[in-house]
Amino acid sequence: MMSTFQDRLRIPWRGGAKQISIDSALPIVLQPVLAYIAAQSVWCTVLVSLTMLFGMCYLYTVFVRFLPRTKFFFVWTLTSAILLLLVFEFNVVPFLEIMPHENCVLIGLVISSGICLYKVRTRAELNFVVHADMDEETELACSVCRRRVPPRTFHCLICQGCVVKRDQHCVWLDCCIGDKNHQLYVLGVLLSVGTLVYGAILTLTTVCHPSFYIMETVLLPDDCSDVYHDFT
Amino acid sequence: MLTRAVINIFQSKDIIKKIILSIVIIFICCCMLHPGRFASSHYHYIKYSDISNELEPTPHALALVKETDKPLCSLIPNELETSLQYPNESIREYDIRYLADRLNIEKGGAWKPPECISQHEVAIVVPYRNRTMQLQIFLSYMHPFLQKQMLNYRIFIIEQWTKGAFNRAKLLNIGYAEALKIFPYHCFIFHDVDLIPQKLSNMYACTHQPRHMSSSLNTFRYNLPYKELFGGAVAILQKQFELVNGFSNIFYGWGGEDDDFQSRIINRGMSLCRFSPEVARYTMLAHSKELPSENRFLNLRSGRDRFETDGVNTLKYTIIKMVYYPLYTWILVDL
Repeated sequence: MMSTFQDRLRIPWRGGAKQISIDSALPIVLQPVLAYIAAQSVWCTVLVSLTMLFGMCYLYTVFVRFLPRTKFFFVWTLTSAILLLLVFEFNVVPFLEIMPHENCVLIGLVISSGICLYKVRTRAELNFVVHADMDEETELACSVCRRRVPPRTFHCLICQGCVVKRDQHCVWLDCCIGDKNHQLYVLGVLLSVGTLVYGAILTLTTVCHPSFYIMETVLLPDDCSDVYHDFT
Repeated sequence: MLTRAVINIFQSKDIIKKIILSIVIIFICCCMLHPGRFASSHYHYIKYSDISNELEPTPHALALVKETDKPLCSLIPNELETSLQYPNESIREYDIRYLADRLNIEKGGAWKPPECISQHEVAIVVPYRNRTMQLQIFLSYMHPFLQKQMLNYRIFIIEQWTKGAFNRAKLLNIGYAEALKIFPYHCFIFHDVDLIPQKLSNMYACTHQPRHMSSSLNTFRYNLPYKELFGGAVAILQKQFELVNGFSNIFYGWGGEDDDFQSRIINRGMSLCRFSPEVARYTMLAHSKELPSENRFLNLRSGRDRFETDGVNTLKYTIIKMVYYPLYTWILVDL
């Protein structure tokens, strides 16, 4: 029955419906549900955060063992980015408390970090060692491929290839970080953190009682005790 | 050669897909960036240096100066503190018990400067129900604040006796009518109990045009949500309030009555004014928000037809109790 369900799970796409696996579709359902539960009360938020933290660790070990090429984490990244942007644009902005330029800065940050992380993914393929071009002189060999590779090259079991100067396999972007995309990756991560912090400050100063801090220049949330009242 | 190249481009499906995608993205961005969705970034306000020109003194003051030998107070007291003021939110019953004696406040929460004749006779009308803690913070903060501004003032707390939806606008109308029975106030300030002005230069007096006082409020991120906003704390001359026929009496529940009042003012050919955001800075005492009323938009739409037939001239109410407490005049009313 499970395989039939798996087979029927398709989304319409140009040139025939695309099949999507259950594990990739899971975040799209799970995230709004978790967000809704977390919005109920303080304890729900704490509970959902903790569940998510430990759930992610558990899921990672499970997926690495049984389904290493899963898109679950990548879809999770995409869904959360879209969900956060939608909540900001359709729940926070209508309070009429955000200034137009603040929204422009936020959208600019979202777009630039999006472009960076997209580039990280497209450039990830350049990291793989093309074995035919290898210089015969090099003595190092990949233990999995049993072929010669340049120095500081590591084999990625998930990508099933040898990655030059491999840093890590990023499950959230579903690609390997190596020589050709390492700088972009660091930039993209920093930009995303900046976007998230800025977005959080804008959102919380809108729904909470804000105050000026740090020499009366930065507006930060001060008292958020009635936040759950607003959304339920 | 060129035409062939153009045809080639358009024949390629990839390009068309990209064009459609970019049009969609541009459209979504335009919708997202539409200025109507945000706080108004530019609005007209009275500069700090112009405040004294805009204030409207009471005509009674000059007559009083002739009768008594006291001098006239200046329109804005000199040497007002310029720093931000904060309320003491951990106030206790004990702290405010002797406040009236300490500050020489008359029974009923009235005061006037002893050494000169104030040019502002202000009735501060506060609609109220079941917010004891906030009322204590408000009173203990406002009396010293208003005294520093050298006003001849009285604080009226109008409490709704009936259960059910709160009718802020009608309570304010009642406050207006009852205040005039006590003293011919020249200027009225309609004030929410949870709003605390933070700058002493924000004079609690009337300007030539009705003034929206709480234009830089912390819960609105110190921005003005929309240019027509006229709620929270407003100052209006008695003759202007009479002219617009006061508030509408039919707005039960949260919301709408301030927008209706604003359209009444505009309809009578007056305009709103505000002090600069630096001066008009307020902080809101924490409380849970009220549920918005469901028929507020309906009442707003029919507002134009009711300007003459619904207001202070058709006000009906019964006073349950009226007490001159040390810090305020308390009026409990049945709507």
